[in-house]
Amino acid sequence: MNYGARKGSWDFFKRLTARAMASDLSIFPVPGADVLRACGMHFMQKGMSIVATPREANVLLVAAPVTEKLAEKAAIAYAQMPRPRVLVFAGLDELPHLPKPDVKVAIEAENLQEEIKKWLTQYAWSEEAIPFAPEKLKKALEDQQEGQGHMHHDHGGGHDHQPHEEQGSEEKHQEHQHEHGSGGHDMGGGFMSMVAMTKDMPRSMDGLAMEMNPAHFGPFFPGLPGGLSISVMLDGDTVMQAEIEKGLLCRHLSHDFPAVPKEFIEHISKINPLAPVAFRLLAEKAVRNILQTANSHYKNVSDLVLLEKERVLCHLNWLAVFSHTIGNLWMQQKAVSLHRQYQHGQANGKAIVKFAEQISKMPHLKKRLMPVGAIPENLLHHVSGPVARAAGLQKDARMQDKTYQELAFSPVQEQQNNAWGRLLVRLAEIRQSLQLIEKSKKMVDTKEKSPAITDKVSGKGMAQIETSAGMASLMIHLDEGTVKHFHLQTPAVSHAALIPQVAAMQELGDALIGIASLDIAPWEIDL
Amino acid sequence: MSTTAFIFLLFFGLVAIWFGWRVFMTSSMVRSALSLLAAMAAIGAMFLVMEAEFLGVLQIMMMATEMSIMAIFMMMFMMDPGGMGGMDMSHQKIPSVSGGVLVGALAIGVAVFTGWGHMALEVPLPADQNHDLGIELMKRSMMIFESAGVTILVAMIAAVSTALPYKK
Amino acid sequence: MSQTVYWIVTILLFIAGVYLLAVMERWAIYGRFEFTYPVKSWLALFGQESVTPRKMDKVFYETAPLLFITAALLAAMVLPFGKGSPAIDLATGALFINAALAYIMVAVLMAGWAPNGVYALVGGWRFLGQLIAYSMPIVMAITATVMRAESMALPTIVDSQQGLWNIVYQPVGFLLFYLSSMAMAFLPPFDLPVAPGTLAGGVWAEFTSVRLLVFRIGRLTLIMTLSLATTVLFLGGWHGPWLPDFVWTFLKTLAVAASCFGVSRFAVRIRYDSLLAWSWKYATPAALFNILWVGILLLL
Repeated sequence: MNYGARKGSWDFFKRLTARAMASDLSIFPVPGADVLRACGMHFMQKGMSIVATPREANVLLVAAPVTEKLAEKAAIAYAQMPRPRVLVFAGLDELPHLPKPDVKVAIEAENLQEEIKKWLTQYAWSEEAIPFAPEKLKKALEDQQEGQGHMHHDHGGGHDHQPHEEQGSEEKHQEHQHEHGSGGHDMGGGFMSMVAMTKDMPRSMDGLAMEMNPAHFGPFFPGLPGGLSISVMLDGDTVMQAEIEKGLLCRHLSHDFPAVPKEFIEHISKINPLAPVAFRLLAEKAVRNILQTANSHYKNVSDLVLLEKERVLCHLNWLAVFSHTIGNLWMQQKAVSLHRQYQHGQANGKAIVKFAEQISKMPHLKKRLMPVGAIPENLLHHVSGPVARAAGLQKDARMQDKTYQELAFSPVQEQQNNAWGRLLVRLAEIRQSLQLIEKSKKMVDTKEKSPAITDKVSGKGMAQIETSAGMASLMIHLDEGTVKHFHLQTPAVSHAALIPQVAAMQELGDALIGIASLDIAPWEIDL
Repeated sequence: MSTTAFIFLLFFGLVAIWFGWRVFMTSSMVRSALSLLAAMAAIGAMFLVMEAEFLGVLQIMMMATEMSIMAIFMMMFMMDPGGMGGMDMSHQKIPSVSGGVLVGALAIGVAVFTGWGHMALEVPLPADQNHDLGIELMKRSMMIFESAGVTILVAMIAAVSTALPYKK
Repeated sequence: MSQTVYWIVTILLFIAGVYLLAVMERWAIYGRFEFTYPVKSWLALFGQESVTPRKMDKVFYETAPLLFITAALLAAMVLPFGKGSPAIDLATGALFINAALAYIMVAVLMAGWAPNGVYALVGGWRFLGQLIAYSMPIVMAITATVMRAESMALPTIVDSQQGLWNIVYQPVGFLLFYLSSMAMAFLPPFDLPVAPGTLAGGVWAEFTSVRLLVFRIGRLTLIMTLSLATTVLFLGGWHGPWLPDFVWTFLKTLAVAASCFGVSRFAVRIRYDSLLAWSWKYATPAALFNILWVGILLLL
């Protein structure tokens, strides 16, 4: 069983080619480059690069967390990759739909490049090579051959080659033919009347009848957060309709949860792999609210530092995705490298602040982003986080926090309800978070411990926290020291609900920039 | 004309006819438009063989853009632009066939019965041709080209203004 | 120097130029210089299996990459590298560059249509819109250089710049030609047909293996050709002290290409409708002004 190799025996030229492939690894990341970065995998070293489509890739790197449905999409992406291809699992043992991995490593493993190289130079060509076809693809093809109705032909990875004409509109054509046939008899000469033929078709904005194309962006689309999948209806390249594909990332986190508060806190931190700290602190806070034991000052301050550090990281990570969507190479590379340095505690704040300043002064950027991603006024009360603050709303859960009040915190605000405003707010927040971290260092000198969570109490507790994307709130119900149920509200849910409004009637690029500017972490939607 | 040049002329002529035939033998609008482009480019190549360099290059250049733009319009306005729906796009067959035959006969008649004058044995150098063409455009044919140009401009403005959305 | 040696040197320099451009392209994306990268990457693509879409237009799919690289090479053929004549010495050379490069658009259109996928299709038609934006400024900028030389032959155009390069004589024309050629080579910020962040490869999304390799090398050849054309038309071609003529052309060409990649690294992708608006509202009038300007200078 060898799905990765090309069929054939080794010869001198093939060895040379395999060596070349090994020193130019093109990685297609699953579930997304941003998730991998949050796990500490940046691929900045020589000979490795992240590519936009599985067609260009020779390595499919799958890293935790991956759900069953996501694995199904990943299998399709794997099938689309030209061989020789390497399937790599980082921090995973096995997944449904996908074959056994060729290389298995731990997350953030140093030997990743070496292991892939070794595989390629040994197994890139093999006599036992067989093609890989995932079940879903096979079924879709069979359906197509039988010609039964329209099948939703999604090729995952956002790279569907949905045949443009014949598939989505097969029935329509038949109808037209029929109409044409009978219409012809009526008019004697068989003259084709465009008016009659197009009368039932959907209209574009300019009133012309056009056929629309369905297309998918995600869940591994390079210009969107990893895991986010959006299906759109395209009229030319205007987005007529856009909606988020739900249930892809379902990990059943809201049903199977541990009852012990300590484990429960760990459980909640898994909700969003991009922001584990924020959710852990949220759960901790909620539990403490029931116990009614205040944290020590030291703990409060160190929590603040952790939260703000994560905010800087999240914003940099978002910037890396966003710069890809708007097509700026420099910004993307710089954001990734600063993210990596800051994650490893190497970057000094100055470099990041300077980067933020350079971005805000970039020519044409303002003009490009200003008309994009406006949210209708009547829906503005649903949003939170940088999206709300960019629109001029003073919404920030940190304002109610005593520790932040001690630091004389006031949220960043802009009066721009668009992608540019959101970019500015996030850049300013990066600066602000770095300042907060600096200031808080001077606040504490003694390390005191907080009281531990051990008491067997009952009651309801509620907490709010300002994650990098917006306000998350958690309500939990404790009974005799065990968690009975909980209710979580995350910013991504309300922001994802805005996708149809932000994307509709926009040019495709604008629609994607608008969606990316909302910073939707799909993980918070499907728990 | 040398034998080689004649063979090339014949070759490009046949290519032009073949692609002209292909224009009507496909249901795909884009294929049809690009076949026409290939036919036109072959005619441009015939000009080059006949040592009309400027005309040849101009033909090859202009047709690329024009046919591509035509392709997008054909794709926009036809019901089955990819030709994959199996739709029959021919209609009014008898009038169109007879019209085609008539015009074809007329064209052949014009080609055969026109006195083309003596065959040019010496072709001026390409640079001289360009020079002469420039003088011609600025002297005798100026009126014709200017009026044609203005007419096209008027048609363009009229087309754009009809395409503007109707304001109440 | 004998003619044969001259040709061999020219061809080798062109190939070396394309190779160095590949290094520059890598730098523009990842900000690092990897001098062995192109050969590795090309070899790797060569060894890849080629995957083709199921319901494609086979003729277009096979023709597009070849037409793309052929058009770029044909345009390169008429451009003089040194004092000797170019490979094809045409009296209408300046027009011929444009004629050959028009087929770049045709090739991209074919590549967009052939694979029968939405991303590619959108990318292909976008490039047609892009052509409508760049073709007017580029052809009118060339016209103004032809006016000064009073000839469409490229060696004559180079000769006309002996005293003063066209970049100084007609700076507006240079700027228009430079930006339009970036748009023609769909380098960022004009990378609408391939747009990695919004179309995930667009026109090239369904091409793999050798076909993709032909496209990639074809694009580099195109950039090399356009930089060479900029050198010939605006930077005085082979003119320069001390060094041999073809070395000057080579160095100037590389400098132009490097500056293109430099611009593309720091730019933000333009929307095609703003591109069209700028082209027709500002660039086309500016190109007309440039023609007027050169005309006045010639008559003075």
